[in-house]
Amino acid sequence: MSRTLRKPILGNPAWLIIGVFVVLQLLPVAAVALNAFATDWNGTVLPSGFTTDWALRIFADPRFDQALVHSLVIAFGATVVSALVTVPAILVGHCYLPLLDRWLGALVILPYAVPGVVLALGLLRIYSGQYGIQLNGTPLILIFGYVPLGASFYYVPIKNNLRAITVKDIIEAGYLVGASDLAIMVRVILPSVLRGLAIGLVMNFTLAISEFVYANLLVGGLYPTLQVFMNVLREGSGRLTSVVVTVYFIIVWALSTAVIAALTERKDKK
Amino acid sequence: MSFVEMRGLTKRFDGVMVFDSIDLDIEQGEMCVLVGPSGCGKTTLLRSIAGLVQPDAGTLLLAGRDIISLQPKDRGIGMVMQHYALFPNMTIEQNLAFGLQQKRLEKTEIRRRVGAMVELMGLKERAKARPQQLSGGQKQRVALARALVLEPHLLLLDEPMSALDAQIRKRLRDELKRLQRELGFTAVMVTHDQEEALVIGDRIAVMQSGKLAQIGSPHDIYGRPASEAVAAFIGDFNILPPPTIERIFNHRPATSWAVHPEALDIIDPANGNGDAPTTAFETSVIVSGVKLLGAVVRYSLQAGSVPLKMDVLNRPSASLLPIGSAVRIRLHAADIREI
Repeated sequence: MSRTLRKPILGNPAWLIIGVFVVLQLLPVAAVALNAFATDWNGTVLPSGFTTDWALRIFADPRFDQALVHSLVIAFGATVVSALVTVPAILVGHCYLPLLDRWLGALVILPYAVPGVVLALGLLRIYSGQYGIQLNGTPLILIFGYVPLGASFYYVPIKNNLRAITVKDIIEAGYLVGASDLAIMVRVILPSVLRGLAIGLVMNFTLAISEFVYANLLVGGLYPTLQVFMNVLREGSGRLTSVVVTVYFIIVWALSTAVIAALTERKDKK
Repeated sequence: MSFVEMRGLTKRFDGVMVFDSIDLDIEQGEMCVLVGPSGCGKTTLLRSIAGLVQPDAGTLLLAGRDIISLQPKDRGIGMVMQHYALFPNMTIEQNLAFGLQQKRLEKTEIRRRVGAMVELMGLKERAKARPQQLSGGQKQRVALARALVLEPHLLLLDEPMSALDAQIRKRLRDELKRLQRELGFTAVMVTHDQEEALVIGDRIAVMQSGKLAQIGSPHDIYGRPASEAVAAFIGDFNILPPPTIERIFNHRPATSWAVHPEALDIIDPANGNGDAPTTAFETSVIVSGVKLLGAVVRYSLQAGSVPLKMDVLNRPSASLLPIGSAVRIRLHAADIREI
């Protein structure tokens, strides 16, 4: 007789393992959200009371509106620019230049081997106008600064998707039915890596909206983002910071859900 | 002039010869099978015909047109790849329509052709499925349909049944043969399976070490192998050089003999010695192994120190010879192939 895979929830160690993971993932988010609406939270498991005062104060602050708009501009801009630069390079490298592709894998993790401050200084020098490109003090420097940082977020999941299909055979099959390289890329290869692309888009957006070091060093008060605004709030109540964090968490969560649903819906339809 | 003409096709990779001076003619409506052991160059030759590999030398005419320098898409050639290479993000219908869309055909014409091909291949109920939802046999049919829907002048099949289990292979090769007869397409198929080649091919080209060792009908290739190597690959022959023949049959011919396992008979002691020595040769052997191959029993025999293979029909009424038993066998002179 075959063993059943379905076991009762209570007393099942599989549920315990999953449960610990879910709790540890959600606990910090829940704590921040609770803190955003807490009247007072010191020495107790839960806040002593709840209020919307902190949220209302933040929403009434014109600096918050400005920082939110700035963060969205930066996050959308960086996500789109990095996708346009990185994704074609990953596809072309994998499909046509496999020898060069090995180096791409090393290249995408390079920004993480260099301290953020050093990279930021490098970006300031490159975009200072000395080489004909003047982006310092504009949001563009931040957008282009996030491109190398976000490359690995596209590279890893898209490469995993590409390894799951026989790219060389598919390209040759495309040639034999009369398709051009562009048609094969757009109609076959790219749709086959949509899951990886969705993950890359979400992770890049999350990076760009929540990153502080580059935002502070590259644009700072010239183009304040939510992170820079939170740094300003640091001197005041932690509740205000929690409200800002909760707001951008909700934005990231909503957009992630929308992007993943949009890019993977068609593939899931059987 | 033949429908497909290859003259002097040669390819080397880094100085290593893959195939050399290939001359091959294929008539319209013919199924030509390239058969040979792994690494003999048959797949690279097929890819050269498709335009996926550029030969170093030679000419290739298809319906009188020199296609050697054309891109794959301009050759009018369809191909079924070994692992099918279906477009994973597309349904079966979309896989078939993709090539027609590249030809910029009207949508109604695309729908008509795709619908007819899906119907012909018996895929109507799976038309909206994606490749990962199909069985191996269904994938093979989709790959074939995707190539045929473009109405190519020539269809290439690269070991199209190698990924299937034995039962499905047998069914699909019959189906492929039926389709080829019905639609009348010209095809070149690559396989390393000699049985598959004999069943499917109108003509067989045996490749060995990058050269065509023999071209002929299945009957010719099986019955009259041109060399010891072809005999060893195609027919599972007993290859007997003259000194061995002398030891076994007490007769010294000028050339080697290729003897099919089914050409050897067991002499029934009750019926005497059978034919006169001028038309048949006899020897005593010891049975060293017995294998049941379905309708046939394969005996391994030892004639002194010489191993022989003998196939006999597996009659339900007959009992198997025990291992270690001594029997006399006979070889009719008419069944000997001199090589």
